[in-house]
Amino acid sequence: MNIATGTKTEAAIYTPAPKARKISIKQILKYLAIIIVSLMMVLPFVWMLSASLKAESEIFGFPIKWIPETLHWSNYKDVWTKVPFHIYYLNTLKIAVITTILVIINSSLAGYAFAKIKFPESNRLFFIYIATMMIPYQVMMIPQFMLMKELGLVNSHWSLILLGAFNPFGVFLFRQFFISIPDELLEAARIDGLNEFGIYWRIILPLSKPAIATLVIFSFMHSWNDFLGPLIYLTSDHLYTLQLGIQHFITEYNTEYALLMAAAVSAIVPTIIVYFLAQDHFIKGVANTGIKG
Amino acid sequence: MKQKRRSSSTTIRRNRLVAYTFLLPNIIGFLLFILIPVIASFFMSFTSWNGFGVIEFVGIENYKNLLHDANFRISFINSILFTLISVPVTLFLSILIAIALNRGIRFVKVFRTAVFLPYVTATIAVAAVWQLIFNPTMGPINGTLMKLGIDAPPGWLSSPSWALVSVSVVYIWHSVGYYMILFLAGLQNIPDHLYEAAELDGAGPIAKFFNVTLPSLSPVIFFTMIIGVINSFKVFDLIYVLTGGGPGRSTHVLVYDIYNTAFKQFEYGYASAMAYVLFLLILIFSFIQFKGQKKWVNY
Amino acid sequence: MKRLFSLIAILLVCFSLLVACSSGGTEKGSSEAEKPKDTNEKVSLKMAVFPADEEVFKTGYENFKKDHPNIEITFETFPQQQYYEKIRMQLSGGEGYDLFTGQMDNMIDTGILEPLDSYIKESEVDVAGYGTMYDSFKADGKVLSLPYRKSNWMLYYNKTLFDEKGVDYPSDDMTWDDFRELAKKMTSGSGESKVYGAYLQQWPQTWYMSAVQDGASIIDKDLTPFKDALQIRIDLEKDGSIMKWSEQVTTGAHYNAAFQKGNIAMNLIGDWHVAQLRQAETEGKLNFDWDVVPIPHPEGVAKNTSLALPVSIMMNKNTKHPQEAFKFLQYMTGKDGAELLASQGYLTGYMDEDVEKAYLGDGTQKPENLHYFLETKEYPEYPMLPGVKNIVAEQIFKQEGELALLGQKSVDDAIKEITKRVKDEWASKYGDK
Repeated sequence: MNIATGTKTEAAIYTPAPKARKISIKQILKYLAIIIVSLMMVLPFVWMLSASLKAESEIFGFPIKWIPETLHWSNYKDVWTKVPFHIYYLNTLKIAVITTILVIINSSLAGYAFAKIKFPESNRLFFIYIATMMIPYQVMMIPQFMLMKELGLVNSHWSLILLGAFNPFGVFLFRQFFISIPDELLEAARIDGLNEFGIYWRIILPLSKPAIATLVIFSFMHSWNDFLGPLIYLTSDHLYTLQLGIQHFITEYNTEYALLMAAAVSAIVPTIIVYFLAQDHFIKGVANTGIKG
Repeated sequence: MKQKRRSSSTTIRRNRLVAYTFLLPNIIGFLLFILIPVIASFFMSFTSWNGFGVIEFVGIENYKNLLHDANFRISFINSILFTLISVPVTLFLSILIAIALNRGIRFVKVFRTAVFLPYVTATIAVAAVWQLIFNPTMGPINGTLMKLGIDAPPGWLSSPSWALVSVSVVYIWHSVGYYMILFLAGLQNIPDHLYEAAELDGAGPIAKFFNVTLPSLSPVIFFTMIIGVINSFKVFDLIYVLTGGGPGRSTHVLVYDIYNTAFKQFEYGYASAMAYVLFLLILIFSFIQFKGQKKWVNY
Repeated sequence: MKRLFSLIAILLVCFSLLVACSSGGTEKGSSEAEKPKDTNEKVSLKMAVFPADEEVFKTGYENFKKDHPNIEITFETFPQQQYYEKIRMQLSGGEGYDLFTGQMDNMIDTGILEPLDSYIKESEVDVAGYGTMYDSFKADGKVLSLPYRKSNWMLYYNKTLFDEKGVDYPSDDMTWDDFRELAKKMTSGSGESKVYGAYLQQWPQTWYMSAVQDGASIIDKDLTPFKDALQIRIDLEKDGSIMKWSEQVTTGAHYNAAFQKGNIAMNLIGDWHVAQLRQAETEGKLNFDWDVVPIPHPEGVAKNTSLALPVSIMMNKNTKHPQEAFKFLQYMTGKDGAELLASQGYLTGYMDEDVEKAYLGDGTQKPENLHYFLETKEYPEYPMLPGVKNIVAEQIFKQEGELALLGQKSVDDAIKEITKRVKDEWASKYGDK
């Protein structure tokens, strides 16, 4: 089967009859496997959806009821009216978008330097970058907090944006992807008179749409779902992000699961949209590459 | 000869200038927000600081105490076991899924979204569902096992001997979508002409996989291995909500221990020392991978 | 590369200077704060409160403001599970809260709790109202906090279920063995029609409490009394009268939802559950009648002996307005605050006749028999020393007890291991306190 070449599959469907039948059995098996895997993957999401429409007392019971007897849409109403959910939404969106843009810019620049420019400290410096990824976030929290305090950024969205924007993961990711772009391409561009920035901007970036899409997904997701960061840096309710706002439904003595799930479902939508849009670039990425045949 | 050396040193100087210009925006943030806190917490690991008052240096006392700290020993072993179970399985499955979902099937976007969903679903929902699935008496897994005639199926999350495995299963399920994305991006970067050339040589799908796909994917595989090991050693959220380290201490992993020490017991200096041992552990794992990469990674 | 490292070194020095300066700054703040100010100028205070208590505090503040219009207080609240790490980090970074609520043992080691003795003397606080628990708010002889509620344990029972079965209601004088028998009697059915005789939340206190009722403490050198305590829970589970531990843990079972479902005869939980059940009742979610009695007691211990875990208000040493801050602390932990909290169903730290009246209400609200709890003799759930809760109770007792409850270890082995770990991990750090 032609796994990796999209144009060929169309043709495969119209191949002569005997061969087609053999493929279709294979195809059926393949689809079956994929469907089973996909079902397993979406199960908790479905549960979350169904719990968000149940009465509190119905949620934990056996056997699992996937469809609630009566749909409690009021859970959603409660979530959006009991707490200022729209403000949390806008705050989170602001942080996630700015962080993602900054990450893409600075990580791709740094990744380019590490992958395509030969300078003596390159390897050692890069190793320091990776090494810092190995230290658990929990121990950096206190020094980072004191630093932000000194910069006067505590209880402001900028502390979260800045912490999210400089992350070695992005640099590592871009470096790995840039390395697989052949050097000859760059040499050719240099001979054509492009400077380094021109090469980065005109040649490398257009070739790296899959990598950019990947980092967009991860970075957006990360700032969207971050809990510990906002917990530490934000204290005023009007600055809260979604993940913090959701905590309103968990108190010392009680967890309102139905509302919690309704809030979680409401919060998840943008991440799915970003994912859905960004994944287009995996497909387009190849179509746009300059290296054809 | 002399002239050549001079020209190469000017190239170095020029390259260095260009490189640091590219690095500048990132390096400022990196120094300020990452490297300095990292080094600061390294100093903290030699103190008995609790976040307040005077910082008192205790030398290598914290590290010495770690040697006979039973909690630490247990979580150390659990962390290594967890990584050894989850990383290979996760990477294997996600390559498989990425290739299946790369191209050539209908509704590919829908399937990809399905595989990625666990990664965006709220951890608390993930925990709730898996706790139901793993329920020892009424859950679907043990229900099936009992129907198959197994009288005493394992208690999964509530059994000290199975809990770590069960948590690994959830972790694998949760993170397959993440690594699938990395592999998909890698697959998309493989130029078509490589496949066309292989086809001209008469290669079948299996030969194409081993001669084209795997070698071209090797930088990404290397990347995911490093990231995979780091991430699995740093696993925290899932364990926090799924088992809380229990039953007993069977799913106590290092980061869980570090979190407990720093934020529940308020021994910040000691927690920093633990973190640096964890760092060393990951460093060793990564070093082995870096050494090994020359043999198989194809740049 | 060398240049890079020297750059890092310079930045690092700057950083440590900053840290040093900022902590020095807070030290200075404390000496400035010594001067008492008792003018009527506008003062604004910041207070961190438990999320569950935010509403009560806001209501309390509205009343307080009438007499003290110059004091403005803003309340901040954080997710319960991360409450202490959040406020500790804020305080450590020099972010000032003048007052904060919580269990004192989580904050003692910070050294920022202002001793309240002189304020108490000056304002002539009637400390008799705090009863015997008053001593547990002292550390090194100084009072560091005052309680606003006590979190005593009570036995809630579903009257309707008892009526249906024709079994007598639980009495106020049950031994744990009586309790076991009664729970067995009330248990019936399976699957959807299962009725559990009792419900014990999956917290270590729910099994170790009977030993504490007998005067033992979880940091004792000899922990043999805890063997019987652990055995009680195992027996209850063996009888099928309570949900299995493994099932409880894996379903994330919760006493509130469980009891409200209506298939649990007796629920052993804290005084705050009264407020929860009242709320469920007004929302029309309860379809059964309920009441309370004191928890069972070990053989040879007087009836109505319970455990308490007081929640108190603490004051920051570095506050700029200690007089005003104490006024509000005094208001909430004293008579006025107590009446407010008691009327909502909480057992308050401060008690006198009026508070008792507020607690019992006018008889229109359930439960009928709240009066028992005015005479409870209580032991603290654990000694209020730093680390006891988070190391001994939440880790050692929880982890080893769990292994016994899952049948992985015998009771003897579990207690032996607990004794060993308490000695190793706790006593070594804090000496033989």
